[in-house]
Amino acid sequence: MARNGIPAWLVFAGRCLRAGATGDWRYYAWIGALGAVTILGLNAYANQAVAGLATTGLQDQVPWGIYIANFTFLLGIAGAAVILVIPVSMYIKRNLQDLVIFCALLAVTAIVMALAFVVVDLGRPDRFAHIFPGWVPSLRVIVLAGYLLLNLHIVVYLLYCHYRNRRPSAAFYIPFVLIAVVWAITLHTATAFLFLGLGETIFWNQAIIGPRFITAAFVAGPALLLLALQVTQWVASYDLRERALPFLRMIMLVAMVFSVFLLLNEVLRNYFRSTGQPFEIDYLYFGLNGFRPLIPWIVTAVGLNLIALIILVLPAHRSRALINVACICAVVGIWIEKAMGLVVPGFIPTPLGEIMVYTPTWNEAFIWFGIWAFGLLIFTFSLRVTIPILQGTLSIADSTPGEAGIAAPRPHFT
Amino acid sequence: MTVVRNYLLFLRRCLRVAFAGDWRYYAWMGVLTAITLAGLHAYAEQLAGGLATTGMTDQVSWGIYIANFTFLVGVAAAAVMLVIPVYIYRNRHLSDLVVFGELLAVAAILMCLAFVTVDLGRPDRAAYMVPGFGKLNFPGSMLAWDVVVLAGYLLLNAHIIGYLLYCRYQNWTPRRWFYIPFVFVAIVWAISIHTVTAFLFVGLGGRDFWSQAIVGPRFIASAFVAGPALIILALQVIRRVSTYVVPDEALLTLRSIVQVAMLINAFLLINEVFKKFYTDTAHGASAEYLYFGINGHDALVPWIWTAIALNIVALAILVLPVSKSLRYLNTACACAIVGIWIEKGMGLVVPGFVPTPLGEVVEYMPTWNETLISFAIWAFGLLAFTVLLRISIPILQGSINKENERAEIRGSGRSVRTPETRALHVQTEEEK
Repeated sequence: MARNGIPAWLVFAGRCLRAGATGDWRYYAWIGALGAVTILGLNAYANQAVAGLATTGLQDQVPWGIYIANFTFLLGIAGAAVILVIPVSMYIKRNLQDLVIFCALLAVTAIVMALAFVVVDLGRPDRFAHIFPGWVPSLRVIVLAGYLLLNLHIVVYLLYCHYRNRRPSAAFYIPFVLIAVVWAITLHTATAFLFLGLGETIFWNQAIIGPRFITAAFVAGPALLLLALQVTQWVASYDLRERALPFLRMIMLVAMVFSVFLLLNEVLRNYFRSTGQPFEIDYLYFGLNGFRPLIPWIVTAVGLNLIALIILVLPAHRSRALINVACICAVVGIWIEKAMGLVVPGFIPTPLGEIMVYTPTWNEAFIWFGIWAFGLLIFTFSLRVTIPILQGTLSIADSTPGEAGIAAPRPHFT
Repeated sequence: MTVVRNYLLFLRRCLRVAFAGDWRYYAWMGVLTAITLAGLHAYAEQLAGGLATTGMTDQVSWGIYIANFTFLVGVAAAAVMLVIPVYIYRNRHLSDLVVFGELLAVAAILMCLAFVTVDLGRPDRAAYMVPGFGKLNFPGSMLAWDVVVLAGYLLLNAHIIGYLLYCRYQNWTPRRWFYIPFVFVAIVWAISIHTVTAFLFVGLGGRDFWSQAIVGPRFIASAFVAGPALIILALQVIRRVSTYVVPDEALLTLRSIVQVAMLINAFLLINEVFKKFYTDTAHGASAEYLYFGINGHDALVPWIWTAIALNIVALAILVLPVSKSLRYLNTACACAIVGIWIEKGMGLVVPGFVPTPLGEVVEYMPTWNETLISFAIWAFGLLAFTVLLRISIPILQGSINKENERAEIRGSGRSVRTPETRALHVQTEEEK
């Protein structure tokens, strides 16, 4: 269908872009701040690209640091976001259908950020090209790129249907959703296997790493989504909470209990048996030979996770203020646990018995914040476009031919 | 004094009901008793001849007994999968059936204890675990933990069921503080019995096949498949042979539990297999022996592939909508139970010992005597479960209660017909 010679989908794209670029002062301030941090990060990355990975705290002994940690965490978020779709599509909770879009948006954002983190982790990013099929076929790239495409397809299709006021045809997206669900688990398991496959690094070479990744992601993903919904309700009059909150809470609770159970199993396994000293885990929890740089991190992580667990288990989690606290605790706790608690200690002590201390440099930290700001920018932008469409204020009905199919976006922020 | 007398009267009536039934009941109990007695005879031989009558060797010192033990601890723990929906999520379909899950748990623990006993070459030495006579070695030894948690779980379940049934008998409203705290303790306890059993294996640092953190979660996941699957089958039998109403919705609720647990179990298995094979270190030798055989020694290969095939069939049926029909659901449950039994038994216990630290490959095959004892313990377990059901169903239905106690005692004499069976007759005649 075309109006004034412009295809409808192009009009749709144009209006989305315009909607994303307009808003009240709060929107501009937020976007501006994020943009500034992103640019600072870009500058830091330029420094790194010139001087190489020497600008980071990474060394020969600890070659994976905060970048890989973030990458792992974000893939978890991406995976969990889509797995949330299972109950929506399979158990047909129709009133949660909007949530599918939110989940997929979160997944897309997380994957873009994860890709950014992988790129900055490369000392010679130009060599990235070598992993494309044709040079060396790599399962991981196919998995990641495929996942990104799947999610983009689902989001754009559903939004476009909303825009056109059409019922989405199930045949055109449910199969993709189901594929995406399996894909999500594959993605996250493949990430876990990146660690697990390293037979020498005993700390990682444990079958439980995969399940632990998944359960942690199932806590952090819904927690982030829940926080996003709270913010959305606050700045735009779009309230999904009544319907989505109990559901997300329940998933977080169950996943958190599983997660703690798996952690207990891991700790018991390392300490109960009497053979060999579990050096890595000792280094993490108690320090080794007087080196104890990770203890404050892991203690914070365990503390935050426990607070989150306690709030979730008690009836207190029905209070909206406390659930926010639980979500923030869980996200930060899990982030630390995966980063400083999983990636770094795997390398220490080295096979030669050296103990190296890894601390991120300022440059590294800037890049890290820059990528997060960039991710938030994408997520904010996509929500800014999505919410009017879901609310029906941005739809094909109000695109008048007189304006060449592009209506002035209405102020949606109240 | 009357309190004690009343309780003894209750027990006496329970005992009488257990010995009354129609010809099907007698035939079933007769067959089970015969098998149990045959097994008792086999056990007497083992007691006289020692563990040499079994297929176990110095190298492979745990066999079919420990395999069954592990499986049954899981079944006992899985009762919690009925308790959680009922007491935490207030599921109404399952609320009348939670007792049956707990009864199954009691029967399963009895079987566990029997299997542990027959695994002892010198059962008299079990007495050394009693503090004072010997030493329990409590916090240090996983085995001591296992004894404590298993006995505790048996007591917890016996208390909860016993109290609820007695209240029903007396027509009292159960006092919440007298059983709800125990229910919640039992939920955590159920997880602990299976985790502790897993740690019997995980704690052995020298056996790389077992010394993995994932063994615990896998135990739990597979138990939550096999246990509810057994309960699904048991509930259908109850529905067929008694007048107790078991709604289809209850079975379907259990189906979704089995479904999710099966998916998790399969996922954990994939993780485990990846870990064993991808890194290709010597630590994978046991797994290689299990799945492919080493140097032509491949006694376990048919077992494990059967198990995997059965599990895949069960998983496929369960995730498809066809499992909403009871016939398919039953097939899936049967496949899952057998598959998990093999996987946890022959697939977990035996390969942990092979190859030995010296590199020997010693194959294990249960002997006939051993097999007979195992069957007998299962028969004994079924016997116990049947008796428990035979007693509790009439109490739950209200056909045995305080009111008709007097009538029964007066007219007791030697009549085989209890008021309960009479009530059943009246009921069926009314239906006609």
